[in-house]
Amino acid sequence: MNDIILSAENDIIISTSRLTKAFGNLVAVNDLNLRVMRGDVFGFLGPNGSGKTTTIRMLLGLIRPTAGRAFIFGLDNQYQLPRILRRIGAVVETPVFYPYLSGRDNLRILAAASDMARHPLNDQRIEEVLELVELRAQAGLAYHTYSLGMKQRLGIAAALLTDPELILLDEPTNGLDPVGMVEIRQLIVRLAQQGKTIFLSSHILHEVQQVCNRVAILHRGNLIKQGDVAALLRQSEHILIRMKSSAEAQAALQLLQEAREGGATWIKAVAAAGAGPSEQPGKASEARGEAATTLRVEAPAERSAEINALLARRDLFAAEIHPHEGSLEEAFLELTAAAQFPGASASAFGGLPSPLPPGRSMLGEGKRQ
Amino acid sequence: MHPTETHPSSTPARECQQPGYDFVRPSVLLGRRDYLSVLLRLIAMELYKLRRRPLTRISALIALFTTFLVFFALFLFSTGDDSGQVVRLLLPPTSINIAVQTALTPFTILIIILAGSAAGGEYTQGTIRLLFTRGPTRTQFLLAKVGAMLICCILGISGLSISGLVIGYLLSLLRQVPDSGSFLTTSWLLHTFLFLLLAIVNWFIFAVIALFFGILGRSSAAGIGGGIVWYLLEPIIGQVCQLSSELVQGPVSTFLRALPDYLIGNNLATLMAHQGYYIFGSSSISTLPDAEALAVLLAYIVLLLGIAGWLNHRRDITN
Ligand SMILES: Nc1ncnc2c1ncn2[C@@H]1O[C@H](COP(=O)(O)OP(=O)(O)OP(=O)(O)O)[C@@H](O)[C@H]1O
Ligand SMILES: [Mg+2]
Repeated sequence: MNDIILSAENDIIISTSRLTKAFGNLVAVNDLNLRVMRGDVFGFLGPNGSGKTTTIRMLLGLIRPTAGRAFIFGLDNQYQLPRILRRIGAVVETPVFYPYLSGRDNLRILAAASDMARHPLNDQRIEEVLELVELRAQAGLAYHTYSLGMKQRLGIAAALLTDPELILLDEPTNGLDPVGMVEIRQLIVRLAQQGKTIFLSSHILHEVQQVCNRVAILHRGNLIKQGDVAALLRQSEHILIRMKSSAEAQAALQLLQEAREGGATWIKAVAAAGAGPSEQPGKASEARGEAATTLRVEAPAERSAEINALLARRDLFAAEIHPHEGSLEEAFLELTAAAQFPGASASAFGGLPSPLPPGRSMLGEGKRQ
Repeated sequence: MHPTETHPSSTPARECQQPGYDFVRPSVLLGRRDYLSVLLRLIAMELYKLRRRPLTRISALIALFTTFLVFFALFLFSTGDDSGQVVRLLLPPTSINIAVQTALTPFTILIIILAGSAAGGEYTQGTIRLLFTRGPTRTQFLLAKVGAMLICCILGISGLSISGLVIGYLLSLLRQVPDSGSFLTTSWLLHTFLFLLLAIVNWFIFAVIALFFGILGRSSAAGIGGGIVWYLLEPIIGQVCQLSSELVQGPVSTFLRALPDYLIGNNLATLMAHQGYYIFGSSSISTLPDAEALAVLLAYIVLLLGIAGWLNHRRDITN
């Protein structure tokens, strides 16, 4: 029994308890309890200024928490920071290096600062990480001539230099071109396959959705959600059914509700779409015509064929069935909106299509260039 | 719709196989990790940074060129001097004094610039967070800077003294030099060594001041500005104290008269003059005991480094 508890504790890589940081009156991070397990690719999300970088700085011991503690590898980072840092690779915000040195020489400096001996093997390691971020061709150029994307790559190379167990990346794809973003994503996936734990702060939700297995969402310094990506996605998964007339829609609604009560437990709820509580009144009457013919079924997207069959058995033929897989973006927008306007229901965004084209995040366009 | 290449699952990362990538087992060879070994590696790192900085190279060139100019000027003056007195200045023991004074008077400012930007620059550029997240403690990083500056001072003073000796000697070959008798005794060597050591301390202490201000003000500008202001202000304060002490009476006058004894420049000048007395036969004006002067200088170094170390250790790194 004790062994089980111990091994579970060994697998907790980051755990914070009531971590808080205030800058004067501004509480940048409030009462944060995070838990990152070994092998996690952990997405750390939140709007601009929500406290992501501040949290990462606290984890790395760059700033002192106002209250609370952070444990990494089970060690208290207030007392055992050097031991912790030697097992971490990190990029905090846009990485900065010595402008007068080349990318390669900057890594040499960092190697010396990371206890790496002067040895051909370590020179080889430097070339390896440069290769990994595809910077080898430009490694001899002075850092001040680098483009933003090249700087970001060098930052990632620096984080990987010592082959650390835990890698903290603060918006690593910021400033990268689309190909670069895909490459970094693939790199993260490969690192995860090697068993590394990755803590990834990002605005780019579809990126997080692709690589992370767990996420925490921060809003104005408060943790509003922490958990499995899969579970979060399941929350916003649903199927939209458009019938030819409102009479048919009514019949279908009844049928599906009966089916649910009759044992189809995978149907969690059925409702006329657009009847959400937060709908604006003006828009509602406009949309009534369509809404009256459309149903929203809270059910896994892959069940749409079954729903179709159910309806067809009663001679109800849907004009359109639209399985809607959940997206992190919806979940995120829903959760942050709920946190911002506590009065509004959590399903505020429920039946409405995402206001943005999929894969784009309004947060991704933010302040940076 | 949403990107279809992803499948919501508990661990998408591990399910997504990437054929074609063959990960070489990374090999990292770590060095010794005891406090001193880490510190020595960091000092080597700091020296490497200093060596690669254009500023260091320019500073070294300026100092060398100026030393050459000073000796060349002496050489030119010696043309009109038939007694050979001026030419003798090109040779030791005076040439050492000339080289060291050239290094100390104008080029203390260069060492202030180097040290101030080395400490403050990490904040100005933001590289401080790069260093502080690698493992060694903040104190080790600070000590590494101090160590690197000390080595810089040793190399700088030695280099400039030797350059002065060589340049002076080479120029003297072009002139007839009267024989000056032998001065090379064990005692002379010892005092010359101490004299050079004091010159090094002189540079080092201003390097520490610049490091202190650089860390205090988190910028190169603060380090360089603070150091230079201190360097220029000290003699003025000394003068003002001396003048005003004559105008007032009582304890205030005593205080004003005693104050200059606690200024860095005065203590250094005293110590160097004492050694100069043995080496060049220059007259020593100050009556301050050596031990007291050394204690004052040591107190400055300990105090400044103590405060800088405390700030460096405590503060939040937010840039
Ligand atoms: N040194 C500081 N002094 C005062 N306030 C600060 C400081 N650093 C951060 N803050 C404040 O703390 C809050 C959180 O900042 P932080 O940089 O952690 O946000 P973030 O989530 O990383 O944002 P972004 O997505 O824009 O990078 C912000 O309101 C910011 O203004
Ligand atoms: Mg940030």
